[in-house]
Amino acid sequence: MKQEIKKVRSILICGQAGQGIQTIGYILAKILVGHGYYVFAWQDFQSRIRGGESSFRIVFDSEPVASLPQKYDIIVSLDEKNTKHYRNLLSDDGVLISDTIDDESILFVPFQTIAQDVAGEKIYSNSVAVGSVCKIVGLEYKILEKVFKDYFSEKGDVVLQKNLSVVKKTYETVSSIEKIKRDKIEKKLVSRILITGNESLSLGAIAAGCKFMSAYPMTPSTGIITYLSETSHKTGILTEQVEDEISAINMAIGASYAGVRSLTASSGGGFCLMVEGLSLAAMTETPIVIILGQRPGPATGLPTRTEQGELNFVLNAGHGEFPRFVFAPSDAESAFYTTIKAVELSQKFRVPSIILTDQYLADSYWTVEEFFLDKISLNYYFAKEEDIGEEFYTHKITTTGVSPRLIPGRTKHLVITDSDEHDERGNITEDNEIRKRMVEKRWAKLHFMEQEIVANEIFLSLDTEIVLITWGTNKWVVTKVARLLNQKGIKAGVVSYTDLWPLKISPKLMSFNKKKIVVENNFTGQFANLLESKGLKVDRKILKYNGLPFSEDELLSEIEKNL
Amino acid sequence: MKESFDNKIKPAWCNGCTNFGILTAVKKAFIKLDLPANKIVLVSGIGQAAKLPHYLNCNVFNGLHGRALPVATGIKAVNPQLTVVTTCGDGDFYGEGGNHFLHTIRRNTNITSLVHNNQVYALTKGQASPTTELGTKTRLQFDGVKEEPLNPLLLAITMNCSFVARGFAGNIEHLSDLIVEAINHKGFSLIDIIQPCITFGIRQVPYFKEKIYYLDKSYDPTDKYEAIKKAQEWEQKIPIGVLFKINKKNIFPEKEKNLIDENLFNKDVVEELINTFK
Ligand SMILES: Cc1ncc(C[n+]2csc(CCOP(=O)(O)OP(=O)(O)O)c2C)c(N)n1
Ligand code: SF4
Repeated sequence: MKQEIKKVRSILICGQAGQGIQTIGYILAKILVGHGYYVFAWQDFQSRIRGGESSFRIVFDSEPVASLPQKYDIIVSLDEKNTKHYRNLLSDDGVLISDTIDDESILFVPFQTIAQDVAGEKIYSNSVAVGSVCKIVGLEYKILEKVFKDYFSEKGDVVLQKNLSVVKKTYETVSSIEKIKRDKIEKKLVSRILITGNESLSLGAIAAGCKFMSAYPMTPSTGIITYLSETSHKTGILTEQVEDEISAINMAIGASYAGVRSLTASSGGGFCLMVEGLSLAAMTETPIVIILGQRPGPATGLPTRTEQGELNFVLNAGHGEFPRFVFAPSDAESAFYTTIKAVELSQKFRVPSIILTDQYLADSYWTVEEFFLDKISLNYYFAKEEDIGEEFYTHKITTTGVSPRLIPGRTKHLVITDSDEHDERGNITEDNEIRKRMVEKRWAKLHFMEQEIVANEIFLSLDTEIVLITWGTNKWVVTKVARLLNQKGIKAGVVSYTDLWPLKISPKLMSFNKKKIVVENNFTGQFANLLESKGLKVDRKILKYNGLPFSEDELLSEIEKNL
Repeated sequence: MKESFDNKIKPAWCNGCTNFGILTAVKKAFIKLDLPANKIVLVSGIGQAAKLPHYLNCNVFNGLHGRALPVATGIKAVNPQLTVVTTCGDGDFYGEGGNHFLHTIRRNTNITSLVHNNQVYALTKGQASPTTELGTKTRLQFDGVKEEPLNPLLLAITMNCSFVARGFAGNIEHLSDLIVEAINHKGFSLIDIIQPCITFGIRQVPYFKEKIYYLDKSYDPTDKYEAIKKAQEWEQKIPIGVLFKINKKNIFPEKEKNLIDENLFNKDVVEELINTFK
């Protein structure tokens, strides 16, 4: 058993599904946030409800963090099989805490015995796990107590007190059995937000004025309709779990036609079923937002893992040709604002907006400083009755391609639309001249849509030897690795994309003529290929497609391998 | 001024098609209900029947083949003040849209569905539909249909669909009354309409005129077991009218609340929710 541990910045909690590692992890994350740290936690779990191997991985620092190391400073294991499975992820001077194996290298804490002795029940053993970590890291009992109070408030005072007494005992036990040099904690009094990507996307939808969501459960997007349902008594949003994803998108389109901002969400498989509906939204020019939480495919793939494999799919999904927006938020903060932007732009242009997320964004806990609500400005994109003549033309041809909208039943006018090619009024037509004009009308929007797009976000200066280009959630690991490279004297810049389509490449990136490396989580390098199709020469692709996110160490060594 | 619901668009149906009868019945029903055109939305899928909404004056969402029900549900969900009616063919509604049919019964969406049942896919030129009878020969089913036909009324009744009726395109007055009753009924109302296709259909109006009879006051549509029996009559005689009716506790949308709101951003609510993550 090692006696010293330098500085704890990462914790891995592992156990079988159903053992409560998520609760332990979440409480720890809250306690760390309470100390003023930036916290990020990724969940690595299997598609099962009980048993197996799963982990909850926390990283924290005094600066924003959201990427994972290869090895962890502390591993807490609730079960023997998991100890064997995960112990190779322990850093050289790390501590492995367990109550199942009692060997030299392990800090043995009798979770169950302490729980049984102090609280009379083994179910309190998870609080022993929490207490052990807090003690080792040197976290303050007072902050722990506050988090416990919030967390167990609904369960009543008895449960709270039992949990706290278990922790107290753990604090004594752990310090008496082990002397560990603790990290200095500098406590800052800030109340940052700890939130999952899905919750943040949901808040974005609420802030953007969405009032209807229909969806069919599918990992990793189920959390969105769940959150919107749970909070519907406050927001007035109507949520409906439907029979399939075909129904989900069509229902959302119906609600949108009727005048309400609406959305749906799924993963790749569910989105497949939505594709005809996507095309319907485009043809009827009905605004719609679709959140696609990516997971590895094809088919059912790895249901609980992460990937960036659906970029080509969403760019091309839908029969017929039509313009669309595609976004890929990089974190919870970006998820909030991007959702608002996606909803607004879909309304403004009457085109579909697709938000690509992934398991890494959706299920992870992120620290957000603050959501700036004063930044939000929404427009009501419906025409006034008096501005419309005698007859209303749902698909009126205009210079921007965008026709005024009306809400059916709100004015004397009739709102008519059709999935068949239609005339300006919305009635079915087979006139080839009208068809041609309608195609041109729908595409006229593209030019104006492009003006709403941010070319790319440059995170580290491009006056460098190499530039790392990525999109979506990989922004974090790529930026971290670039910093590490810079520390080693290798000058590296970072470009990360959130606004993916219409695609814009900044002149600065275009003119960067040294090494360009694209990093993404798929096999074919979909984004790299897209950039190349727009004339940007890519020198190297670093791709990962085993279902897991890049770790900092692995990406760093991959880049260094071939400089 | 009463609306006539007439418009100038010329239907793309064959001369003499029984869909014209349904169109007239729909307009008559709206007139009887005294509904303003702008408060009605007709939703359809794709097929001959699904073109109907274009041929009268009201709001129209002519969506995808099979998908009228979810669109109609979405409209009703956010604006319950609108009268929402779907008009689809039997292929559109029971075939491609079959899953939505089942789940709309369960959800009990407060809308009315008219199914123009011509027992054939007319728009795609005469293939078997889910209601085509066993053994019927078509170009595609050249040696006869091998699947048993779906009995939509029986299915709906066994699932406790809140209003189940059969209409006949050959009796406009009766059909328009049925539509009025269906729209007035709270909950999901299904009217399967016998709509013989003069171009691809096997059986024509005279055949049905001979077989049909009208359910009268002596029939109790709240008696589920009677309704199940009635729904199985087809070979010898065919009942027309309301076969089954039930008032259900669950109804969609639950609240008659209009969700359309010009005030899009409610800062207080968003702030309150954000605070729960601190
Ligand atoms: C997804 C899809 N599949 C197939 C079609 C082709 N299609 C159009 S109408 C139709 C069947 C029409 O039959 P029905 O719904 O009974 O209506 P009818 O024309 O007989 O009134 C089919 C198969 C389509 N438009 N969309
Ligand atoms: S094909 Fe049949 S259903 Fe279609 S319009 Fe002609 S007669 Fe009517």
